[in-house]
Amino acid sequence: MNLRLKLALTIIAIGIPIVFATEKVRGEMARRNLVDRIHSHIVSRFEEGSGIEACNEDSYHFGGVGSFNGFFFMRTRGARDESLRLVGDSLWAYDIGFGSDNPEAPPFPEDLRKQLVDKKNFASVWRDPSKPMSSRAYWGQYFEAERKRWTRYANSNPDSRRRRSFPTNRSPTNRSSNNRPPSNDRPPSNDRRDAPKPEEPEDVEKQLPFLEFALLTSDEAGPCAVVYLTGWAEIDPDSTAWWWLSYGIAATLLGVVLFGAGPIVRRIRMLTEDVNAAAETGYAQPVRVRGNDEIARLATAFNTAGDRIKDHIQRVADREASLRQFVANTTHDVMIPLTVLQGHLTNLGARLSNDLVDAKKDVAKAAAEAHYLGSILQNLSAVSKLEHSDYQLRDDVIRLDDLVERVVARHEPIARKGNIEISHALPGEPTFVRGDVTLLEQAVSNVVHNAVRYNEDGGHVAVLLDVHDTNFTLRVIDDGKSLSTDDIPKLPERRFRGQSARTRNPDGLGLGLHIAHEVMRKHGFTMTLQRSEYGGLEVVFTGTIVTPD
Amino acid sequence: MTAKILLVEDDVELGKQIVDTLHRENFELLWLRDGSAALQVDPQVFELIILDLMLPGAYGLDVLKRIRDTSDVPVVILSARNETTDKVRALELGADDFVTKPFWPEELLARLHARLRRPTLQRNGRIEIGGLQIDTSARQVTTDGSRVDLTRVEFDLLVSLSRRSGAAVSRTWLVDHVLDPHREGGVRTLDVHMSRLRKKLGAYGKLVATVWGVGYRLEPPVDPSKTA
Repeated sequence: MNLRLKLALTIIAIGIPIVFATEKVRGEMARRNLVDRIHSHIVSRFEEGSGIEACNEDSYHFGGVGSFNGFFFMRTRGARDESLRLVGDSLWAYDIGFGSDNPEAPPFPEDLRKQLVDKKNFASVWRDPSKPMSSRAYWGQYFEAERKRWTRYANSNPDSRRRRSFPTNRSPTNRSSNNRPPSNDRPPSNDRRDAPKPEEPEDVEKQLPFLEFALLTSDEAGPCAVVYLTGWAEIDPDSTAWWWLSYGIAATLLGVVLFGAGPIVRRIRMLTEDVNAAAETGYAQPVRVRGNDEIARLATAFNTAGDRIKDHIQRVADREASLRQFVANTTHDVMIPLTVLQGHLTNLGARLSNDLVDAKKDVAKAAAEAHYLGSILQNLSAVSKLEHSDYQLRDDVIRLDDLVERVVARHEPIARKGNIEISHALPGEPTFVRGDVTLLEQAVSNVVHNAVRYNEDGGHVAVLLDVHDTNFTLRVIDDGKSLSTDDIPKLPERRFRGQSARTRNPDGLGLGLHIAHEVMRKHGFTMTLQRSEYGGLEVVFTGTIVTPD
Repeated sequence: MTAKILLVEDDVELGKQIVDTLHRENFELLWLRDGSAALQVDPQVFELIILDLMLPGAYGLDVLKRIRDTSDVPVVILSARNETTDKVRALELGADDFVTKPFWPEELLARLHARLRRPTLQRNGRIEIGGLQIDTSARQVTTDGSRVDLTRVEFDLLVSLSRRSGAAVSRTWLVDHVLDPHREGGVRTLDVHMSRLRKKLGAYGKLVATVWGVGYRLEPPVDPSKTA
């Protein structure tokens, strides 16, 4: 997932809850605002207008369905706010003990009563419109049925459209209102008892929140100490527009961020390319620093880190070169005394009388160890080349038949001392290959030495070089003790010593065969190991010969 | 063998050992320990030169270059630096062989003998190995003057071995180069042919030796000096 997509998803993940939360807060504020305005409206109508007088005058008939909206048309003082209208409104008056003179008044809601008792001047409750209607909403349902009937009537009588509201039941306003429809139009009955049974609410209660509101008036001792009104409130007629506006803003924000992220993403890509290029050159090539912002500072940080890595690489290279030089010098210094030692051992063995069988054996063993020491030193030198990252493999044309002769001549003395016969056969014509003569010779030498060292008195080693067409096959065969079939493929692994090899010679290290395998691999030649037909090991090298210029 | 050899080696102990080894082999020897001294000698008076590379006075490869300016005498390089660059450079400058330290006296001797080995006596297509004479032109073989009747394959096998007398020849090579692959078959057939050849050669049949894991070898004539 790229950065731009992640950014978009993050914005969407954060934006959607914010839009919903904003909408919820906005709705809550609108409700509170409506409640405050209803409060002010009722206070103005009751306290400053003629509300209390009207209530006291006829508390038995005061209130009813439609009474709240009716206040807008009462001859009371104050501005009329059309947005305060409630759908399916009703208004009732109660004394301070929450009893009403009007027998049709519903029981006062307990939660509102509790709020008023808790020393509040007014209280409100929003009922969830999606839930089944409570008993307190009974009047709302009743009025809604009435409203629908009136709407049908008004639609069928164009003159009635002038009316701002349909008639209400037994409200003081209604009784003095001139809005009653003509009698010959069969207006809906204003008598609740004649009204049809309230219908199941259809859409209104599903779309609008249901408000119940109560207010303590100044008529504390009278029948109108508490005013209670209900109705569905159209608190957010522009909700849809606002909704689209919110999403529009969010989408615009998203677009702006993504568009703005383009150059940033592009610069990060360029920085990535620069860092990769720097890494490929061992941090010799610096990362380009563009501008002076956070990405530029990141590039600078990469350069600082690159400098440190470069220094570290240089220190490692210096240490490696120093170590290599040390190995080369030490090898050189040891080779001469080792040659002298080998000469002394040869002379000592020659001077010993044949009667001294044990002494001769000891000298032969000492010679074998000296030979092994020499081999280890040569392998150290080979490893320092193979594992040196900058070592360039030589690509000279070399005579493979001469190489085989040198290797056999090298190991023949020690084989003879151990009474092991070593023989070789060459094609008869010069055989040329391309490669590094030192490494190739060490590889073949390791295998031949292995065949001699892990052999026994009276054993044999054969080295055969054959050429077919443009390929050579070099086989080193011995008849030493057999190796485990499971062990044979693992022999070229570094430091591997098979159990059987261990018993044959406990100081045997897998380094020699590992080096041989690596050298052949680097030359594009193959080295395979298998059990020889004589019971020992057969190592086969194959590769391509060349024709010298 | 009384070849005159020049040894250029600065290490006293190693030089002494080489000198002792070569004297035991009856070589006539001149030992120089300084590169600059080696530059002064006439290489043509030697049959072989053993040259160390790390020398005081002059670098071994410079000495080699000087030698090659005037002589084709075989030069065997001794080197304690097992570096490809040295070997390749030495071969390019005309060295015949190199021996890397540490080496066994026998190893050095083998390399010297290989360089001094005289080719098998061949005159007018005739090969002589002691009393065994092979006339490649007439395709005739005699042992101590007596003619030996050989089949075509037996004769070719004997010639192939005699041309590399002293060296083993692999069965694979003999099958590929001597036997007719369409008629004679493989290794088992070769062994049968060799067995018959040995019988026909009589006492000289012992010269045809079986080499373990390799094939066959025609033993070189015994050096009278060795048996003495």
